[in-house]
Amino acid sequence: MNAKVELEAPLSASAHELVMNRILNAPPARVFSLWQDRAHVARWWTPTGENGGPGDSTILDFDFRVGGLFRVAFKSPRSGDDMIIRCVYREIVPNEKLVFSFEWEKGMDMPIDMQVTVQFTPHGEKQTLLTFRHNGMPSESMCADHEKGWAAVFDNLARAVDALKA
Amino acid sequence: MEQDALSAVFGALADPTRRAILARLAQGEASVNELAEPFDMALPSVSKHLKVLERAGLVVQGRTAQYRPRRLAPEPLREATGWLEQYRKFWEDNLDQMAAYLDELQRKEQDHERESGT
Repeated sequence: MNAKVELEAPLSASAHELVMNRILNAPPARVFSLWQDRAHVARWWTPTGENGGPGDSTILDFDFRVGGLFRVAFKSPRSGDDMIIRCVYREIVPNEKLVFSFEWEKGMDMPIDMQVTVQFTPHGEKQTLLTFRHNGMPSESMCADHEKGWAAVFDNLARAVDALKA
Repeated sequence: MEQDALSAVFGALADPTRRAILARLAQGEASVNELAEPFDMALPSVSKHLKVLERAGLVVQGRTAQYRPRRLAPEPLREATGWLEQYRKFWEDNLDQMAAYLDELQRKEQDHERESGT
């Protein structure tokens, strides 16, 4: 099926975001401490092991301050390949908010700039509403057409693909 | 979508010539010669780009006897635009483990309180 392709598309932000909410049975300060303390993080960070519990991950760096590095190494549960996640803390509001960049240092090649935002809000007397966001913008550096912007080009192709009766 | 498949798709899309080839194929299948036409580029260069696209699963070859037209295979692109979904599983597992660990900590504290009679 032939479809005319619109090559000129309005620039769109096209930021993609994943949002997840959880209610936890502890006050925000408690929950926040699980992210703040290296010994705690080592006990729950991914990947999921064979029996559903934490798998084998090793914290390589843990510097909990703005600009500080958080690096974790583990083996892919699927392929067994070595993987390393590298995060840099961008914003820390104690017991309230945590923002960090997220990228694959090893094991995956994703030309996407990703950021994670975690918010800790009191819920009732003793609980916490954890609001979790993982978003990403395809890296502008990947796109040689700086005027168009990677996002617009991507959207464009996706639209052209949808127009195909494949 | 497998991570390396996703990397291959993004890698393929990173080049403007390859994106233009895909846009042309979105209008219908074409031979290598037809695809090379708009570019001031030697055929082997176009073929190289096509190989990258084929390895990413974005382009497939037809089997017509005389020439092998290239066709756009839309599935990988559709899946790549949904790259974010795989992170849902990653984080759900991670947050599940955090929640389970929190429960474990609190249980231990309660046990400790009970034992020390506080």
